[in-house]
Amino acid sequence: MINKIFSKSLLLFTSFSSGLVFSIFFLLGYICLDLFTLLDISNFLSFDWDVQKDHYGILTMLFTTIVISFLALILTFIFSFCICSTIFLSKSKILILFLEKTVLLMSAIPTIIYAFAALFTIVPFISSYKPSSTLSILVASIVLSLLLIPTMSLIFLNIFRTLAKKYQRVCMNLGLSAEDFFFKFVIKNAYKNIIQGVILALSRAIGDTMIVLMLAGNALSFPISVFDSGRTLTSHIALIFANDYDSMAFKAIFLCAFLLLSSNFLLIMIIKSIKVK
Amino acid sequence: MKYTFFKLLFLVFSFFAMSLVYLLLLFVIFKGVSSISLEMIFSDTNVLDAILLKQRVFDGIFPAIVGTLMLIVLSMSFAIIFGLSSGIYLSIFARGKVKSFLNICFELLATVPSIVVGLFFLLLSIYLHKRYLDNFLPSLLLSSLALCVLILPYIVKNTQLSLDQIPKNIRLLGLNLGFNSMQNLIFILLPYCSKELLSGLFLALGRACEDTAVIMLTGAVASAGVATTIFSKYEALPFYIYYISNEYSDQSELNSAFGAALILLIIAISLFVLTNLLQKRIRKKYD
Repeated sequence: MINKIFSKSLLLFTSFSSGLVFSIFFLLGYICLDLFTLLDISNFLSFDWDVQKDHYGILTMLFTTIVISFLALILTFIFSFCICSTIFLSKSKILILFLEKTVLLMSAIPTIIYAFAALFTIVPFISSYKPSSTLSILVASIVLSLLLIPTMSLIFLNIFRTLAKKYQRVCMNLGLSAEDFFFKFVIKNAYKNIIQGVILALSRAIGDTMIVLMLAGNALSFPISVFDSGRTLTSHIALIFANDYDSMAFKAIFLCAFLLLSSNFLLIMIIKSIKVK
Repeated sequence: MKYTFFKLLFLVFSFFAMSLVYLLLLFVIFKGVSSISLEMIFSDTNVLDAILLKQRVFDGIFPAIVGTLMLIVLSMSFAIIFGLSSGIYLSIFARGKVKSFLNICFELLATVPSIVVGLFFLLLSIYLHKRYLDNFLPSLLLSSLALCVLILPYIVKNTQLSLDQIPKNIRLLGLNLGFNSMQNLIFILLPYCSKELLSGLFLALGRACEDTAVIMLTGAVASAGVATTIFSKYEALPFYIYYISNEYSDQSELNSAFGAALILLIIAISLFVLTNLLQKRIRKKYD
């Protein structure tokens, strides 16, 4: 009897906490639908955000989000792949330990610390080369790429090690060197997991707020080069919310939030649909 | 030999990334250590009086430190209740389709961007405040609820995994001696994997203390002093750093932000070290 009550009460807690994700999704979706009854949908799908003129286009922010995420993703992929390959191929134990511990440590560093430190180191460095640009998309993507390294590296390392554990002896017996094994066997067989890692990192890149808010400059104009400043969806939400709650601008940011949420869900569904061995 | 070029390339890029990370870290540590002082934390208030909350601190970062700690404790206590019970249910009672559905729910919850969680709770407080609850404004309580949602998936996943990896003989031990499954859980399984649970909690704590986007929308402000009730606004370290980096007017304010960054870094790294120590012990147990 008491056993049943116990398991039922656990179920209650579980269903409450798992239902949260749906309540977030549907509440935001409901508000977006409500929004479209107030203003025409074409009003939001433009490149122009101007509260005075009643223009609430969010495509510029969407574009900036995509640009920053992809730039960061390319950098992170290069960094993580190199770090993991070095860990896998190196014979020096000290180097392996150093790299591994640093990657783990990086997962614990607060994002605000990265952003805050970059404000006084990387930003002046870049503007000394290009004086016209201070806070820019480039700086934000570089720092964002550092944030994503642990997410991606841990997945890469995991699959490299799993494959090595299973097949390294066989391949060694067939006469492959450790390098051959890595370049000819591991990379070819790990590509699905590598894609999963990249998508997971992409979903983190899209969702990050503090780095882009502090380093990308938050200009509303459409960015033309990577040295321009830009505003992403997340930083747009963070900057607009302070206005009064009944304004149209405040309601329009729920569209941004809904876009962020649904794109992240889509990415997770893609990860789930990739079949790994 | 033909791969020497690639290996060199890998090494160069790894060192480039590492040097960037350490550059940023050492910059914060160096600047923080050179500017931190008791006066910066407590302003001109008596240290003992400030800690015992007899006297209010106005200029220092002491209220921000207390705010962060209060936030962590509150959100942790919510997250433990919901996270542990969900994890236990998923590992022990849930079966089949229900289990995989719940797993997907928590995976989706883990990917919700933190700013969206913040926005959701802001919205919730606006609606509830208008209709039913007068006190439910952006406050310490609201922030800790939002943070709880953010760290919940980690705790659930960790609890589930650590219960799942208990060997079968220990799992069946209590049941064979006549315990029912609840007693078995409380007296045998949970104590057996207590270290794993603890290390997961520390990991979640680290995530809770660093998040800025959520608390920015749900009640953190630049100057409020030490929060007296859970319904009042509060200060927190990450928000303080963000605020100062936007609005600083002179070098001393900036220095205090560096001090705050150093303290935040120390909190995060000590949680990380604690987690690592625990995990080392866990590995010994299972070997």
